[in-house]
Amino acid sequence: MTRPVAVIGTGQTKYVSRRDDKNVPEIVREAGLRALADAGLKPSDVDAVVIGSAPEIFEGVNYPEDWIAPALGMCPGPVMRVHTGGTVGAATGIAGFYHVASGIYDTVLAVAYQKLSDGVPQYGLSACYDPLWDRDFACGAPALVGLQSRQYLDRHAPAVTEEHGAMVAVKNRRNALLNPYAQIRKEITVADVMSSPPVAEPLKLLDCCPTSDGAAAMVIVSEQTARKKCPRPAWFAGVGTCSESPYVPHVDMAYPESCVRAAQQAYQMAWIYEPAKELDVAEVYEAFSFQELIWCEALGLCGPGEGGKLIESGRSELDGALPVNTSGGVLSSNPIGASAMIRQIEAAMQVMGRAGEHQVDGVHRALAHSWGGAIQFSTVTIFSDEI
Amino acid sequence: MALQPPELTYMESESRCDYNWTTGEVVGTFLAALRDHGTILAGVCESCGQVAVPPTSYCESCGSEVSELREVGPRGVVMSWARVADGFGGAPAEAPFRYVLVRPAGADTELLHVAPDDDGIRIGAAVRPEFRPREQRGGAITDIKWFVPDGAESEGL
Repeated sequence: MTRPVAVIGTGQTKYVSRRDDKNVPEIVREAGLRALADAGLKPSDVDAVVIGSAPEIFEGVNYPEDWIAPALGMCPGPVMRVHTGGTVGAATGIAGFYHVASGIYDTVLAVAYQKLSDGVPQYGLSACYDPLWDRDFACGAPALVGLQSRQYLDRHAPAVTEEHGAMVAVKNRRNALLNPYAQIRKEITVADVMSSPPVAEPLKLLDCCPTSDGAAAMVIVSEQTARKKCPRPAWFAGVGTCSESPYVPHVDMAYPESCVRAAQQAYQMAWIYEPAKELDVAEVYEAFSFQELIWCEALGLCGPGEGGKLIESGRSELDGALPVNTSGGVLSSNPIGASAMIRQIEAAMQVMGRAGEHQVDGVHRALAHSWGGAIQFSTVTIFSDEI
Repeated sequence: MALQPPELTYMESESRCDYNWTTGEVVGTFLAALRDHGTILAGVCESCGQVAVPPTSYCESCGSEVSELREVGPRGVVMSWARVADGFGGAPAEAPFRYVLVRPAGADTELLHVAPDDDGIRIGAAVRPEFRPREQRGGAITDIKWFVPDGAESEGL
């Protein structure tokens, strides 16, 4: 393996549909300074910065890393921007891990953000598609996931139904009530979801995530610094990433190979043989309700086709045997470029014991998953309380 | 001078970007076939034999070269669909309509396209493409207007 690397501090901004008070560098600075304070460090302690966000088209500013890095108080210094579709936030954390694991840097600040209100989100999403044939369909995210969800539901009917998706939304919105950073903090019922307006059937409004402005940051350090500064670091135990065909229909969306492979890579690195038993918390990137069930299956947290049973059983509830999306998930907050890092932050906080009101007892290992692009990017990050 | 609460909270801007994407020979031939012949071409991998539509000059499964093109369809099988009830700016069809994934007969992969809001559009159903009139085709995937139900189930497709 590599030399031990840990997260010792995290920072987030409160997610809202529109930040009226700060511009892009300022919201990133807010999260970055919070993470450094959480870690007991200052900007001058940072050796390098990795910045992640979704494509420039969302905010309309090219190479934003130029604009943002000085706001983090470490310029002049090494800065790198990372991008991998919707998994960018996690790829940013993983790039930070690579920086420290390499032995070249000791203390790295990884920041991810999005200010969707500065642009028109659906336009940005549609322009991400292959220009030669997918772009004309303005497929966006809900339609893409509508296709994914329909395939999933039909494949496993009647074991998985639309009501199971609604149950995921109910669970995650309820969990968000305990997360002060979450954007949507309003309890809903299955009936509310089932009767909400259709968006791209089978997806209804309450099966869908919001669009958000926000930033997130993690302080990633070497073993030496972790042991000095943090009573309970979140060690990187396993990391896996995978990408497959960019052409939308060439992927088995209901059980994506990139997700299975990323998970395998991470589990092998972390010496996890039975993830459903050995993990204590999982944060999965459920931009739309059915995706939580699809990812849990592809990650091996339950068997294929068992997503419906999983959500019905209560196992993935906050007080269940394997809580999923204790943060409230993407269904509650979605600043796209940061969303995948927020999954890592929640997983790290659970291991560090800093998850406040949504802290689960006795967390030793937590998983953070993300997907992106045309469902072809996947990442899995596993944190552990020991190395 | 003391900071003021933002009154000038926003700066507005508008951009319009024109692009001219190079297609490459394989994609160019695919697009020309749609426009000139109303046919759908797939690429055949010389190494693993995957038949991929739309075609690329490299096999996405095994990385080998693809230089053989073969006609597939026109009939195909619906692999998934999603119904859009309300129109939106830039929508590819008038609402209500359905997005579809269609695997043309003979191909190993699927096309993203649109279909009418018809209950005949369901997973496993047979569909066929309706092309626009020749004079309206310009060499784009939208030279196919949409895929419509084509009768019974798709066994053998």
